[in-house]
Amino acid sequence: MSSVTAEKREWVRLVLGVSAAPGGGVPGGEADATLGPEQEGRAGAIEQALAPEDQKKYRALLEGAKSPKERQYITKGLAAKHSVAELEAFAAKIAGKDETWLQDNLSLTGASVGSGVKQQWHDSCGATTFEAVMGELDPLYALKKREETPRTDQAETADGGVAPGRDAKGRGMLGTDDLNRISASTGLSYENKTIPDGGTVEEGISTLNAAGAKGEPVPIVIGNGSKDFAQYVLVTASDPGPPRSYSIHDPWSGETVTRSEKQMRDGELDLAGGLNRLEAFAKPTPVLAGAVP
Amino acid sequence: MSISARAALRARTPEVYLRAGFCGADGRVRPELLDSEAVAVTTQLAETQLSPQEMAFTWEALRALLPMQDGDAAARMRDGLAETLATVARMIRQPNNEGLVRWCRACAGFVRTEGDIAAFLEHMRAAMRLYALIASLPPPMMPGGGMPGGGMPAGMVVDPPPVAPSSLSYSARV
Repeated sequence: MSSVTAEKREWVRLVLGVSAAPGGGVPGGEADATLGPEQEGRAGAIEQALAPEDQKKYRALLEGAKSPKERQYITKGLAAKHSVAELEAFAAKIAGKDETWLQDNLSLTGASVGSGVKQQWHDSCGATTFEAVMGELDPLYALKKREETPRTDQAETADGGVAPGRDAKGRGMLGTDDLNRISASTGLSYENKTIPDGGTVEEGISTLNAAGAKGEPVPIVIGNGSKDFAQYVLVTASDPGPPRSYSIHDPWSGETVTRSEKQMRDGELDLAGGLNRLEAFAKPTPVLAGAVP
Repeated sequence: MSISARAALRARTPEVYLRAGFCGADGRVRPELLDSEAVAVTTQLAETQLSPQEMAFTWEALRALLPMQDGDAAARMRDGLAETLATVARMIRQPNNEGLVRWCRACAGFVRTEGDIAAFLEHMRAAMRLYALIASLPPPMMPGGGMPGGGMPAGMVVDPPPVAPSSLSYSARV
């Protein structure tokens, strides 16, 4: 995780109007945001079910903790159903560490930038949204991830790399970097394809048909030719027909309309005040980590 | 037209579109929950300026925590959602987005069976996919090749400007 430096805290204070505590503590919120009551209750139930010998060892771990925070992380580890032996090794690793170290190494959500719809929580270890949640629920998982991924505090993206340029394709293209950052959860990553340089209308139609069969939305750019990337709309569904048709949602107007495959192919879409042609599309690729169990 | 279209999407709250439940006669998620109703959800969530990443955290936490709950499907959903929201608030170190909380709780109130839970997760993921896309869209080009103020699709944020407000402008991360 990127540590919350004084500089970043000042940036957060100025931009967001809130104070970020050192170590990323809750700004003006609850004093202790380490252990939820549900986790505490779950740990209590697990402790009751432990063999007497393990109960003794677990109580000894809690009593030997150097701080209330250490104790809470050990309790959290039990709530995540780790064995007492695993908790003993964990307790030895975190013994005597200060709160900032504990916060930075036992969770996978770093500082945030932006606000509202643009807000993103960054982290230097490359955690996906799935891994970040697992890290929040299980401090042993978070620590293992930290140990496997050396800190790279210069990184400012959730992917752990140096922030890339936005698609390197210039203004007006879909922000696939932001989109792909949560692809492990959405189950889809996207790649921009412009017509005619990066793809053809037929490839676009094939993409729409394949994605429609799987219920995957596809952003397309409509315009009036000569790389007129006028406006993005979303193809949200495809009806195989015949004739095949597409549900196209224009988030700017709120309208959803139906257009046929023939209209798509022939450049007769007549959307958004007279935009007719498919100029680009973003091809979805499944990301297995997001599959619904 | 756009005003009425948005108004119609706003009116499609869970209390309305879940009257028929999550699942069809075949026991599977109703297809419209993955398409048209998911579009309506994105319209409502965009108005609360929800971060797509927060929605993803919430979906992942819900998936992880539901199996840890006891009781019938309704109780598991209620308790799992409560723990999910608390978990995400700890992760992001700020209160949960109110619109997301409202929508999740409204949906949770309609869960009756295990099939409903699975259908809700599918519905939420469909909405998340669309919402992440919409949040990533650049604004339309203006005649002559320029761009308007930019930002989230305008009418989804405030009602009902013809162009996106500059204060909500989309900016490329470079």
